[in-house]
Amino acid sequence: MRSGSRPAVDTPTSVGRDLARLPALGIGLGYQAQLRDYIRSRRERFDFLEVVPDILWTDLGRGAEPRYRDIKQDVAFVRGVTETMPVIPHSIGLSIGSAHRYEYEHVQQMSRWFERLPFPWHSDHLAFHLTQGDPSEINLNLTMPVTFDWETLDLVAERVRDVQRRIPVPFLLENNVAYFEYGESAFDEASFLNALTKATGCGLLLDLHNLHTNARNLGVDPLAFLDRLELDRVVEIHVAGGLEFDGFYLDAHSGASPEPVWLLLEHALPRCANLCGVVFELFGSWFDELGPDGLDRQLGRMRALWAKYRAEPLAA
Amino acid sequence: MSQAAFQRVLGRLVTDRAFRARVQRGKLPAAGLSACEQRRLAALALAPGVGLTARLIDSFRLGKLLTLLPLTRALLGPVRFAREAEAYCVRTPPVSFYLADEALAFCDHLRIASAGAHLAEVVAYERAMIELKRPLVDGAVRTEQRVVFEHDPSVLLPLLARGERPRRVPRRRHVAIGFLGADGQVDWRIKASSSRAKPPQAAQPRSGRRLV
Repeated sequence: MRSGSRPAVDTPTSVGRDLARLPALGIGLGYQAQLRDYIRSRRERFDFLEVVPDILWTDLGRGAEPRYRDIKQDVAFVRGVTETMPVIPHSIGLSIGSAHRYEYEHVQQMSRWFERLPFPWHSDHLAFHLTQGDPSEINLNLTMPVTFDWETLDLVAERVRDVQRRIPVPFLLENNVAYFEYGESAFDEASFLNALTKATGCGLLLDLHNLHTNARNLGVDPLAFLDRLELDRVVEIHVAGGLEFDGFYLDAHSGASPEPVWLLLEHALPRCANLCGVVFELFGSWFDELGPDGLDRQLGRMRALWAKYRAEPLAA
Repeated sequence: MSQAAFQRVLGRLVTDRAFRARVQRGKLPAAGLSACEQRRLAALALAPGVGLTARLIDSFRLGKLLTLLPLTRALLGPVRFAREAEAYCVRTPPVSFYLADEALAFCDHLRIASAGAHLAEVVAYERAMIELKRPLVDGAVRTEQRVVFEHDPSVLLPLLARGERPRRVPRRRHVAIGFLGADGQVDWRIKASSSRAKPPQAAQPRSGRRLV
């Protein structure tokens, strides 16, 4: 923590906190419609599928009844996958860091989803995309970083507890990518995440490509970040690739993971005692460029590292 | 609610270029902001990463428009389409992640703000396609969509679908009625009028055709 501390916020209650009892799933692939053939034909390459549930439905907006309408083709596909492997939801819809409100109806939708297709854990981003606007609310279409201060900690912690009360499995938050920093923060990012997990008992989704991107653009020291972070709260890891653009490195999910991300994965794997899965993320529009064999190589490399560092959970 | 005010201003910094320029010149609206938040926002307005974030938001929105409006894009060409999208983004802050909402709002923008050969009829056609396919709230009735073409759509639309700019498309009024079939596909019934001046019931209907 960078500056003054105060008494800890509420301690966690009991819902969905026991990360040690979660199943170790192994290697995951992020679902995109363009990957359907790959998912059908090469299921042996990965152990579970991760889905952004928001792309399986259309949100008709606040006040619409029902608000969320299934996109039948995608739901049918994912339902089919659940017959052969776990499917883990990774949401983008909560906007849990928005100060004026967050999407509680999204939590209700995830609760309904849990009834239909139970999952061992679920996640969203430590970010916001909704802000007040004139005349109407703005959806920035991008996950914006939250400020790392006490006000945000209280706000997000209360909402995490809301989610935990509603959905009885562990809830994870993902460290966000950022292309700018806020000055005068009370916490650095790792300390903020630690305070949040301590206050709520939530787990973490450690996105190593986000970390790498922040290292490239903001000068974050990724190993120092990992050393500060309480890694026993990490349930899931993301890896991905990016690209250079106009003097920045973008978290574009555009291909193979760069070498520094693999090094971070090797560093993190033996240190995350409750890790259950490592997921490769690729935007579908880049699949033609990476190709099925390229995707095989990414997943194969992840599996080799998993076997090297996590052999016991996999064997179990 | 200081933090809500902070996020509101940050949201404008990444969606409203003119506003960002004003803040860069020191004209930050301070109402509801703490001193710390004012310092943060003044610094953010100058941060290259905030400019990048604004561009990423615009590109994401452009990607949605390209996905749902391929014929309009073919008609306008990539440069004008991007210019129109930029003008639209300046006027219309983003309100939804979803493709259909964005594309419909852009169609409305084009209808009001732009002109050009075939533009009105092509935009109306793609708008109708989106309306026909989008989910409905309970109790709502999906109505058929009616599009008036001043040029033969059976020539115009396939040209655009192949990425070709239309030239010498026969000028003749057609009315296309679109409806969503049981298979989830949109079908069109087209009637050509015998004269541009008359209502569109004179010619033989061609029913059940997918235009492109």
